[in-house]
Formats: sequence, C-alpha cells, structure tokens
Amino acid sequence: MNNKIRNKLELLFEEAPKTKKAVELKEELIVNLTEKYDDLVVLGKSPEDAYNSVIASIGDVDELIRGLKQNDVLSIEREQTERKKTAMVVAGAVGAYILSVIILITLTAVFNVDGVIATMVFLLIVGFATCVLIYHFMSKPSYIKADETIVEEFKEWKQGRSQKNQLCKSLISIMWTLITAIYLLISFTLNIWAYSWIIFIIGAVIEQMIKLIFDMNSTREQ
Amino acid sequence: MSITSDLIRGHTETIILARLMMKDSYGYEINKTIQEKTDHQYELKEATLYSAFRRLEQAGFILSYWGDETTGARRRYYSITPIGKAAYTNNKKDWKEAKELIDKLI
Repeated sequence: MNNKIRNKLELLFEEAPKTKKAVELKEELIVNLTEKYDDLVVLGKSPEDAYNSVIASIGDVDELIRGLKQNDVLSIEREQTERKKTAMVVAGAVGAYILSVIILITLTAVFNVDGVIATMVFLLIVGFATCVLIYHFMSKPSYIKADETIVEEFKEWKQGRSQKNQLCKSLISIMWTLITAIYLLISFTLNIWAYSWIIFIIGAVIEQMIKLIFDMNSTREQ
Repeated sequence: MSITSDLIRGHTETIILARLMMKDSYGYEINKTIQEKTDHQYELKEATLYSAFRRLEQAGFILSYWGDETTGARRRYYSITPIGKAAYTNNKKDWKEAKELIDKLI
C-alpha cells in the first residue's frame, strides 16, 4: 500500500518543478500520509477505505506546486538583472580602456605633461578597469545548477572554489603590476631610487593580507 | 456551521504555532493533535497544512529539520523560532481582543 500512496503523489507532483524542495515536499507528504494510513488500519478501517480517506484528505496541491514554481520564476528575473549588470560593467571597462589612451595622447601632446607621468596615468586607468572587469566576472557564479540535487551543488561548489583561487591570484598579480607602476612613478618624479624599493616589501605584505582575507572567507563559508 | 469554513482557516498558522509552542513536531502529528483536541470535529487538509508550513518558514517563524528515525522513512520536524513565539503571543492577544469585542456586539 506504500507504493500506491507513493504513486499517487508522484502523479500529483508531475507538474511540479524538479527541484530539491519539490522532492523533499513530496517525500514529507508520502511519509505523513503513510503514517495516517497505518493509523486508520489499526483503528479497524479496511485498506480500501483507509486509502480513500487518506487521498481525500490531501486537498488541493495546486497551490503548493504553484508556490514551488514561483521561486523559479524569481531566479529568471534575477538572471536578467545580472545580465544587464554584466553588460554595463563590460561596456564601462572597454570605455575606460579607450578613454585611457585618449588621456595619454592628450596629456603628452596638448598639455605637454612628462611622458613618464602620462604613461603612469594611462597604466593606472587600465589597471583599474581590468580590476573591475575581473572582479565582476569572478564574483558571479558561472555555473548555473541544473537543479538542486547534491551532485549539482557539488559541481557548483567546486567551480566556485576554483574561481575563488583564480580571483585571489588575479588580484595579487594586479596588485604587483600596480606596485611596479607606482614604484616607477614616484621614483622618476621624486628621484628617491635609494628608498622607493621599500614599496616592493609593502607589496609582499599586501599579498599576504589578500591571501589571509581569502582564507578567512573560505573558512567562514565552511 | 461548517467547521472548515474561513472563520477557522484564517487562524491555521496560529494553530500550528500553538502546537509547536508545546514541542517540536511533524506534519501528521500536528494534524492528529488538532483532531484529538477538537474531538474530531476539525481536520486540516494536508495541502492547507503544508502551505501554512511554507509560509511560516518563509516568515522565519518556524524552521525545519530531518529527524533520524530508527524505523521507516525520515520525518521532517518543525520547531518554533523566537520571532515565531512572539508572533504567536501577538496573534493570541489579537484573537482574545476580537473575541471580546464581537461577543459584545452580537
């Protein structure tokens, strides 16, 4: 009789989205209805009557299933806003790249700024735009789960973890590029070659801090 | 009056919270307790019960966990949260006030 109740529930949940929540709800219903059936049989009802009583007590599952579907619709909307945000970020970054070249040429040709300084400004703008680009692409989950089964969650977690490592490495390499740019900039303008190398030591400290922050984040998530 | 009318259905969530104030419980046990307490005059449909569970969980008034049963399949247990308890106390107060008011008027 367990199977009969299970089959009936499978039928009722045919239209439901195939998500973990839906499966869990279906299981919960099956367990509870089976217990109800068992109690009725103990009280003396015939299996047929008990089964019919149990099925009659289910009521209208349509509202339940609609509620399960609703959560999916929300995630589609969220996906669209994510897409627009990505488009904006990419457009902004590319615009910044082009702008940086324009600024470079303008500074040297029109304002007669020293070539080195102008190049440093150019590199800083490029560096900043690249930072924003990489951060944005690394922080959004590129792996969309097919459903909420354990297998899909694992794949998503694995992707997320490798993304975090890449993000960490990207940040560190960007940091070193900027450190080098700043080093050259202040050395040329202030002529303090004797002391400006200290910035590389500072860079090493910053690198360790970045790694520490990522480690703390990942242990916190666990 | 039909006991399953809207008059009672509006209080479904408070009724569930009241049961969970006593102890953690699962779907069928809650329904069974309600039946026993009303001398089998009132029984919630499963769909109504589970819709209410979902609403309560979304509001943060209850949370659920899987029990580890020694026999049979695992059950989903519900327990009431602090804000759930506050909501229950509020609702009970509202009902008491409404009851006194309506008793005076009709």
